[in-house]
Amino acid sequence: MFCIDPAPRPATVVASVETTVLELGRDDLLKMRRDAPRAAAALVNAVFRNVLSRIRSVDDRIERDLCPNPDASPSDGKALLLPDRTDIPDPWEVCFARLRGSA
Amino acid sequence: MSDTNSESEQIGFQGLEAEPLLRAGKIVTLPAHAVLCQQGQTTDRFFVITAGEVELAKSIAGKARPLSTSGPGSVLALMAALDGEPCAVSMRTLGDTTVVEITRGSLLALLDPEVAADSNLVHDLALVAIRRLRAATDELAQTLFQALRASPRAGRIDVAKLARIQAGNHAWPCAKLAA
Repeated sequence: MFCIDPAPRPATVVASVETTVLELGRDDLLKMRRDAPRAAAALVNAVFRNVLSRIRSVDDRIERDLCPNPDASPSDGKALLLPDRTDIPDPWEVCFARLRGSA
Repeated sequence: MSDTNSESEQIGFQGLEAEPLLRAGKIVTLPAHAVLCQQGQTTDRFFVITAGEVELAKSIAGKARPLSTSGPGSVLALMAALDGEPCAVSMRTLGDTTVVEITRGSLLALLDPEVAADSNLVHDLALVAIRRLRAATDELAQTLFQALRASPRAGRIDVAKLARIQAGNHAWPCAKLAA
């Protein structure tokens, strides 16, 4: 995603074991769009589909975890009550880490 | 090409390559209160507003709540059209509105690398989607952190705020995408 829209990285990625990767930078993608436009289009299309599925997962989390029954759950029709905890509930913490880490 | 760009500017496609969408879609003029997409239902088409306004709303606790309005240049229901999952919000026109209606089949044809290689459309769509993902995760994090820190109603989340995040996921303001 950084290759398409540069922005500060929200997470640090560290190899946990010896790892071989293919590194592709923004300049590489620009060159690829010039020299191999079909391959570049396929790559960007795959990124686009992946990002869409992540946006969908945000939607699903809201629908499933906070609005399990939107027609009945908020007692005053305005607010939902989080579990009585001082930190983010675990499912949300995991969700943020996954979504933001990949964003 | 310059004529196409000029036409695109006039109808609000700034930032998103318009020509392939115009070619693949159908221009439709709708009266006020026309429903483009219904909450909980699937759709096989998405829309780009070229004139007029569309209201996004969601039924919460049995009551329909308006969440936001979208104007020219906005892309509506693209995610639902592409992944075939239900739309989380409803969309209806507020007044006379003109949209370009594009079917899933037409979009898939545009995304085919053989076709997409000749335009910037896929790149532009990916850019809009990436920015929406970043905005959605930030808005969600802020909403939850604010709810947890709020006093004396700590832990209470405004349902409408969450629904507005969903609305943003289904209406992308592409007119603001100037690179």
